[in-house]
Amino acid sequence: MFHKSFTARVGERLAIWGAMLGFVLLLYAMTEIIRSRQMAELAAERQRATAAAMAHVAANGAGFANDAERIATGKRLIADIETINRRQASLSSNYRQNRLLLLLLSAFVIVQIFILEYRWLIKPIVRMAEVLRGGAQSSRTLQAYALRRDEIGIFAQALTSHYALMRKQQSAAEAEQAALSERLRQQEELRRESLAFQARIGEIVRRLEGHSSRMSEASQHLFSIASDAESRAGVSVQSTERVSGHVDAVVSSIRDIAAALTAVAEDAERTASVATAARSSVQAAEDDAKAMSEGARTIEQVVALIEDVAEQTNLLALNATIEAARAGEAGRGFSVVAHEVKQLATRTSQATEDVRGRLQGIIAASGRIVDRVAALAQAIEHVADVVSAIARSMRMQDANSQAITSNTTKTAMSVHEVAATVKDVAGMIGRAKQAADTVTKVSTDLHQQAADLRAAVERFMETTERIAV
Amino acid sequence: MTPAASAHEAMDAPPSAVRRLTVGAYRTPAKVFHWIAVGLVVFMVSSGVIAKQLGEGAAADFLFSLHKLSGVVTLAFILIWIGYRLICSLLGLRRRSISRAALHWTLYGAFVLVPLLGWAGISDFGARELFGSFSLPPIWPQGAGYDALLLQWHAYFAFGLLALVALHIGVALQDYMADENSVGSED
Repeated sequence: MFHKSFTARVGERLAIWGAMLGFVLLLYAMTEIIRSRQMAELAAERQRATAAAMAHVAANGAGFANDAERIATGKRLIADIETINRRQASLSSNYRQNRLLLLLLSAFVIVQIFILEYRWLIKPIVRMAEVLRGGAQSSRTLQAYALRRDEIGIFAQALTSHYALMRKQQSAAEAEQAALSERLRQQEELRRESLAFQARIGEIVRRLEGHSSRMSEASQHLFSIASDAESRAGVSVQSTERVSGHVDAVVSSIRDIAAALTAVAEDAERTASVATAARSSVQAAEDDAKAMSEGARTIEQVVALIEDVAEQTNLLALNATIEAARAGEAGRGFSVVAHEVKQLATRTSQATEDVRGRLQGIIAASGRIVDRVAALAQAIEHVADVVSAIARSMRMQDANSQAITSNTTKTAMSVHEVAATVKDVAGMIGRAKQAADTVTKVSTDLHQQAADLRAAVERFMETTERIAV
Repeated sequence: MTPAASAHEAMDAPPSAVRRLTVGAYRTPAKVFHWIAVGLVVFMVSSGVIAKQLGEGAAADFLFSLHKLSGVVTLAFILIWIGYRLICSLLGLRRRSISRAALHWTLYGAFVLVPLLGWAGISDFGARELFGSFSLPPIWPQGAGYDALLLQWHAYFAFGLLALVALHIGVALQDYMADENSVGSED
């Protein structure tokens, strides 16, 4: 309900408490003032009424017309006084009630102020004083107070910051002390390690001197070995070069052989083709011979037909002769003709017999031709098989010779590579010889350096032992 | 639990607990209601005490008339305020701790009870007149004979209400004293 800047600080709280108490006390003061004025007025009225009553009594009936009027006046005066008394009693009752309630309210407010301010002001101060004295583990208390926005909050915040700073400084001091202890421990360890290191270095130097001497000897030995190897490598180079030349010659010869084999194979293949052509010619001749034999047989059939015709003609001539004889003279001319026909038939039979005999010779000759041609074809077939076998062998031989050529060529290349490698090895041996020479010089220098290092380490050890002691 | 106990419980709680229990913020209607209520309380207590002390006379009558009028206004005002708070509570616009809610609802009850006691007392006594010819309607039978008792309890409860107001101020100061996140979360 207040502005946000209102943080209930002590001054602000006192102002509010003062306003509350001031309001109650103001009411109380007003009641007192009113009460005093009322009492004064009542006192004046009572004084006036009393004075009037006393005057009435002192007059003792004087000034009144009769006793009744005097008594009435007296009663009125008494009633006035009683009224004043009742008013006073009523006002006093009101006053007492107001005073009681205002005092009770004041007491309540005062007690509340005391309790709250004890909680808000005195108790935190006491607790923080205990924290300052170090008698209380009150970091939580301080943190709780630091959340407040009044003076106690500011105070607690300052204390919290102060303690945080102190803890930080304490932590820093502890860390620094720990670091110092660690550094001391490291220095001690370093000293021990240094002494061990120095001893180890001395041992290494001693061994290094021994190794240096042995290395010098070994390098000299290596030099001599390298020299020997260099000379042998030279010999090896010459040998490999000669081998390389021989292998090249072998390769050339094998190539010539391969060329000859190739030519033979080609000739064999050509022979095989000639045999194939001859086989086809023989086949044709065989076919021709068979055709001729067949033709002869056909002629033989024709001859048989001619013989049949001749026989028929002969029979016909005979019949004609018979008929001519039967006819007599009339048939004489016809008998001559029949006789001529008979002669012709006889000559035809003779000619056909002759033809038959010759045909039998031709058939026999053609049968022999067929047999011989078959034998010739078989021989040509055999020749062709042999030529094919020779061609296969030549081709295989050619393939083998080409493989030999290839392998020999590879061998020649390998031999060349071996020769190059031997040359490289010879070069490397030469460089190894130079390196051995260098190692000999370096080992000599290393020996000197080891001696210097030994002297330096001995001086360093003497110095560090003197410092450590 | 009495209001004083609930207030002390709230004050004993650590700031974090107060902060956890008090969320929300004042709204302008609440501020207006609050300061009007403050003015009404100051005026009614002042007029009541002084009129009671005057007891008689024109000034007392005038003050009593003002006191009665302001009492009726306060009653109407507090009923409106209670309605507003109930609506806020139903809508979830306001949340607060149980102890503070108890203190406030006790205050609202006292704000209702005290004017009603006074009204009943003057109805019994027969002094319902205000200014001019205007009178308050009776809420108690006139001449029942309880007027003195009713008015006496009216005064006692009025001062009890003032004590509750004092407690309320203490709780509010406690909240303002806490960190700023909880400031203004209670009225």
